[in-house]
Amino acid sequence: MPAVAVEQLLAHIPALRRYARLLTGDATRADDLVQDTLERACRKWRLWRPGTALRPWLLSIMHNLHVNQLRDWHLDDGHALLDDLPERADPAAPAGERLDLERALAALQPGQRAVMLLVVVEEYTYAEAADILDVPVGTVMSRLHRGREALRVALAPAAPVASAQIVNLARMKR
Amino acid sequence: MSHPSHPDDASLPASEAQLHAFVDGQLPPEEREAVRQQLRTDPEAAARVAEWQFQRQALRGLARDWPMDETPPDLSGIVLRAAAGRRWRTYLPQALAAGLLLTLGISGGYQWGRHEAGAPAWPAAPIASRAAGVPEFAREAGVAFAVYSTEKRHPVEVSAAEQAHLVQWLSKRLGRPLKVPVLTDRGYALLGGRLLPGDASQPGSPRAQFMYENADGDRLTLYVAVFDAGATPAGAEFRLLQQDGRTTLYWADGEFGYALSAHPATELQPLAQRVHQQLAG
Repeated sequence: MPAVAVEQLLAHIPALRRYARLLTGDATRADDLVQDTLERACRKWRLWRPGTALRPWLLSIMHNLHVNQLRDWHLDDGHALLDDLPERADPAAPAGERLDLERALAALQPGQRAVMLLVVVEEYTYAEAADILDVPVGTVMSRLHRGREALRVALAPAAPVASAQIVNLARMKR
Repeated sequence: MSHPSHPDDASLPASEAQLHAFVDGQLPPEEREAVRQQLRTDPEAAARVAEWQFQRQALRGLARDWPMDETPPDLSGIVLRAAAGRRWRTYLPQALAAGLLLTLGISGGYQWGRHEAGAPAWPAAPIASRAAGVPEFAREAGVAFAVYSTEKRHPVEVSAAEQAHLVQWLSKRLGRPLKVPVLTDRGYALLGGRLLPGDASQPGSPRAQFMYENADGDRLTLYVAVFDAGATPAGAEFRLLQQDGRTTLYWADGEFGYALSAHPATELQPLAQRVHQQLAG
């Protein structure tokens, strides 16, 4: 690898981590995924076609690995995914809305989450997203639709029963 | 290619797909306008589109503001080790023997820079390193620092204990008498040195890397390149190259190109002056 290529790859790491973090919903797993992605990219960097952008290539590697990992975890233990939902230890805790959004995103089906991230966050066209994920454009569209609707339901304001229950609990304690 | 069928493969009505494309800015202007008209008369669809737009903003905000610590060395190490393994450790002996120190380099750099241009929501490569006119030897120096300064067991090929042999060997391989600057008055002791391949613009021209360490274990490297008379790709003034997690100060003196690399916190200028005085004298 020429030094410039090494530098470009290094320069992509922060964004890959951020992306993987949203994709996996977990900091440790995200860095594991980035590690696997980088290892594979380094092994296969000759397969990157000059004349195409590096970013989609890296993301398609990452998505492939991610799908395989999910498959393995499901075989391993069907509860792995639920157990690993984000549990934030960051000192700067995000506002409630952020947390809700993170949870809702993490609860999406992996395929839907991938499409949402590629289209919404990375601003790929539907055709490009289909290419990266190696699925038909129709699948991208229906996943996008389902993902958006699932987020809409998840983020809809709940009926205000919670505060009433807290009052009751406080009374019972006395 | 056939795709495996997905449970969510059921196709979306065209009108619904158009609403998504509207939200994602993927419609041509005339269709965009048509959707706008339609939304005025369809409050249910308008409400949904508004919520999707809100989601879009929120998701983009989440990605943008994600708290992110510094890249762990483990991750950059993968890339650096791969680069070192391929170019330097594995191929170096054969490549030197065959005079085959080839591969990419300058033309590769042009392409990478160009293809990354205009990519949204993605960090640009460090500006300094992409700017035109940074000589390849300075970049190489920074990468070589990153690769070897973190080595616990083999930071150098020949240790300072055999300094006479080290200098003789590297002088012979670079084809010029080399001097090793002394930086002990600045707190840095020589650890040793190694021979590295040169860049693609100069096939078969090896480089020397000297490594120093201070009492705190901070390391810095002096990278020495030799050029044909008049072909030195840098001026006599000190220039700064900032790469991810390291800083390189480089300059030229006659047919030599020098690059001093260290972690960004290290104050390189006085060290470079010290090196310069000793090598020019």
